[in-house]
Amino acid sequence: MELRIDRVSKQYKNKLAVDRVSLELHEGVYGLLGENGAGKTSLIRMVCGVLRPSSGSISFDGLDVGDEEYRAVLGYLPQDFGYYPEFSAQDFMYYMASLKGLNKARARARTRELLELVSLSDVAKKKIKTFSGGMKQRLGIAQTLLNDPKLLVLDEPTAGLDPKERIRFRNLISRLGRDRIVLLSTHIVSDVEHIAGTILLMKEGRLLQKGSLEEVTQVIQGKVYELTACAERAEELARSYVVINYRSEGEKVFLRFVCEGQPPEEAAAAPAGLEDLYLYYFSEAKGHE
Amino acid sequence: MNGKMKMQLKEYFEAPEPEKKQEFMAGLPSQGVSIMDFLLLQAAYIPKWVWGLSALIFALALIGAGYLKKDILWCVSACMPLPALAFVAESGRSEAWGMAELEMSSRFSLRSVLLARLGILGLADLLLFFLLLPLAYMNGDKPLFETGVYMLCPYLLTVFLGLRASRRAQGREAAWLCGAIALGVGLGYILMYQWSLEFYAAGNFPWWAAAFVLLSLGTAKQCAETLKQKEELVWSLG
Repeated sequence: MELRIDRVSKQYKNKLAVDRVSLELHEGVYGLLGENGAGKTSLIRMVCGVLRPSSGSISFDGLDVGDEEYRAVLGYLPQDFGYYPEFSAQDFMYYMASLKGLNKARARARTRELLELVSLSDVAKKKIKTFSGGMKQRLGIAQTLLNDPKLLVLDEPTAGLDPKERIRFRNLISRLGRDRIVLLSTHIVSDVEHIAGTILLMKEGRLLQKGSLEEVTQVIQGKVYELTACAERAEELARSYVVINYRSEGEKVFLRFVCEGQPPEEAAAAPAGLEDLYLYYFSEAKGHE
Repeated sequence: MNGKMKMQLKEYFEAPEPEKKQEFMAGLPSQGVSIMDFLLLQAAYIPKWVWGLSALIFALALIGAGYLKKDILWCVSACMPLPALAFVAESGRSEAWGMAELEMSSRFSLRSVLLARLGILGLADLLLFFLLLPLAYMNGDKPLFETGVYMLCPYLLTVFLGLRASRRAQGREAAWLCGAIALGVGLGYILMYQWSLEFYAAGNFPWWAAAFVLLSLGTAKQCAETLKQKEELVWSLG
């Protein structure tokens, strides 16, 4: 099983949204991380055949992104999706099943199974317009699985989910990633940290890093420090370094920051995490690439 | 096995949790849907008001034919933008309700879905036309072909302008714009007929025929361009 993205670019008039991205993805969960406007959604839309690349090619096991067979193995949750106003959750699932080529019996069975999986069975016949944001998101996730996709693409899947739902969802994604390719895009760092076996870091349309958590955070290992200081000193340090955490603790301030040169004397080194790396790359004050 | 025995079996025998259910399901040969199944399914997803509207126009024409006599022709023609509006509205419904991206990435893509639905609606509108045509012809004083041309021109004009507008505007803005076009064409037809006695004069028919040919070609082009546009998401960076 292989998703091959070969030198893919997307140009919108005078903006290059995706710049010659090449990737080969196999079974597992891939977390696409980047700030808003980094090109994540454009890349994802091209992988799902919704946008046409300006150049380059995308294929899954030899099937071109434009082929019907490619779409037959694809499950996609867009960042924003709507629904026809008359639809109940069950109608929506049946409708999506019809577009995915499932016959009526299979559509009914899968709908029952998946609504159960996302805890929406009891509201299956209720209109979607009465649903909360989290319920709509769970419904969106359920529809992606109707055709038991080999390639699952999720754009901001945990947006609108409460912490309990988010954890359930993370576990579900981890299970699904065992025998298929799951590509999820988000700017919620903790989601990627918990479930993605491979992290893809995008900035300004380009792929900055690709690798496991340990591999991608290697860049800033030994550069993350923590200290507790008085407010004045903390303010002074905050102006000089990329601050990851600034937390008042009584009269003192706890500071976690990235420092590339000689750290302040009172600072202690701390193990780097993905959030540290994210802020290191995407902090407005810095231009690391 | 009768129901009672099934109940008893359920009661005394606890079925074990399925093992390797997913693998088993994945191994089953997939039973897809045929083209006919797909068309029937898509017909079911056309909003009910569309069918209701066609039925209403036919019913009103049937009732009105007895009273309006010769005037039935312009009355029926002025109503033709309404089914045309339903046709145009269907072409932009996915975008209007935010379903386009989901539909585009499905096995039967948005283009296929739209092709199916517009095909079904086109046939339904043609059926409505063939039901209304005898009513207008038998109560009027125009030849059958001329009657048909007079009736189809406002329909084609609405589809032509509506499809053109819905490709330029987005979402619900497009729906309102198409509504305004249909209303404008319908009202324009009524006003033109009221103001000019020459509206359906025999000497004017070549102009009507020319308009019919041009609008037919233009509408076919607009349909093709609309379907082509559905191949890729229209996405504004702003």
